Amino acid sequence: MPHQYSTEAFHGSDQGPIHKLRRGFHSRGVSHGIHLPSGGRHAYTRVLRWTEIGAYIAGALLCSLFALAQADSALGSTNAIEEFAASLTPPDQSLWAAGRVRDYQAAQKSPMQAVAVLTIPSLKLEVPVFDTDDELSLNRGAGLVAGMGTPDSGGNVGIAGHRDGFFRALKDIKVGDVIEIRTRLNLHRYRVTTIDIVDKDDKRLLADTELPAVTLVTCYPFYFVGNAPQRYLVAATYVWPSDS
Amino acid sequence: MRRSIYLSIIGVTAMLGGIAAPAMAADCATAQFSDAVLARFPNIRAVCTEVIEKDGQQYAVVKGDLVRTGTNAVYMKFKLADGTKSDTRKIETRPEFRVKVDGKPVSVRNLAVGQELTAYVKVSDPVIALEPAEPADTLAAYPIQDAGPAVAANTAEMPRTAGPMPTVLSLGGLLLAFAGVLTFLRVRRES
Repeated sequence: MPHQYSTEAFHGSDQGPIHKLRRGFHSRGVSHGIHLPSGGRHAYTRVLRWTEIGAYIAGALLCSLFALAQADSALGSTNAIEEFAASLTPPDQSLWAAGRVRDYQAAQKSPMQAVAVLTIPSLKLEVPVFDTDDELSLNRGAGLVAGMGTPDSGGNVGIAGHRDGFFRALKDIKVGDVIEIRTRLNLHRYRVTTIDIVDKDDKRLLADTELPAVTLVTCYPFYFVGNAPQRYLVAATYVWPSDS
Repeated sequence: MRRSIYLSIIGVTAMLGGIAAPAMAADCATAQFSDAVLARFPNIRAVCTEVIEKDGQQYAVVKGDLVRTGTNAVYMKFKLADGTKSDTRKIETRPEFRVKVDGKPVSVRNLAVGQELTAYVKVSDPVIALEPAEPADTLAAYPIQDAGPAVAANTAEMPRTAGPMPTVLSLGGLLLAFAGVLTFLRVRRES
């Protein structure tokens, strides 16, 4: 092969044989922008072809990632609810040593073990609630907001969920609707009192309350690509079993 | 004769009085709460459901809802006779102490908001104790705390509730559409 260009390459050119062979690039880019010689056209076509293939592969990968996340969301949520239901009949710990009880409770708090199940009958929504509000937890359900109360210990319980996932149903919630949170220790009922849309940095409604309450948090607007500028908050107060 | 009748009347009266005395003691209205108890728990008579005797001491029984739990304390609102609830009161206890909830023994660490609990307020001293799971269990009495709301400082941050998946799907769709346009142009040019 080298003998094909060995003589031409050094005649009046300081750019070497390869440049001569790939003349199309030179012609298109510098000297003859309008006219595309056949070699340049082929290279251009090749670039487009690779771009096309690359776009197909990248697009398919991203769509597959989305599909995997959706599958993980559906399966993870169902499994978490089933595991939670199975854990509702805990062993009798009355004769256990204090250390053993602590170990058992620690084991129950594994990251992907739901700590509660949130149900809103009016929306036919049932979603596992995890101990944290990280990305994986929110993909599989809802998560407790750090720094706020918990359903069993009282105070204002913050529960976060994705607006494009389980909490999209909140767009149809109404004042007066009942929210149920089943923990391993008790069934808690709340009644929706207010629905607010606030700035994403406005955390006043996350403040603690004297009486047990729950605040559901998701992004707003519900249909928005990227980081939504606002938050949609549903506040509900406790319904005392002794009052009903 | 008359003397023996008088003595009989006195004896019968004393006997009836002896029978009636415990009944009088089990009355929230007549219980002799000490000044210290009334100072710490002014509406004790309004929340008292009965007075009992335990270990030779009188206790007023109060029932209420658990509104919050802490490491070594529970917070309750007691029911008043008119159906309303008292201010929140903190009752110190131990995590392993067992109380009765719906007839079942439950340790304090496993209590949950919304459960109904019973507590005893000593008539003579300003101390309060949760009702133990078993009647034979010893009471763990602690000083009555002042009533008041228990609210923690707000340390919560607004959570990030926007997942990357819609962006991922949009980007993937755009790339596929772009590739489709390139395919269309290529096929048209080649044909």
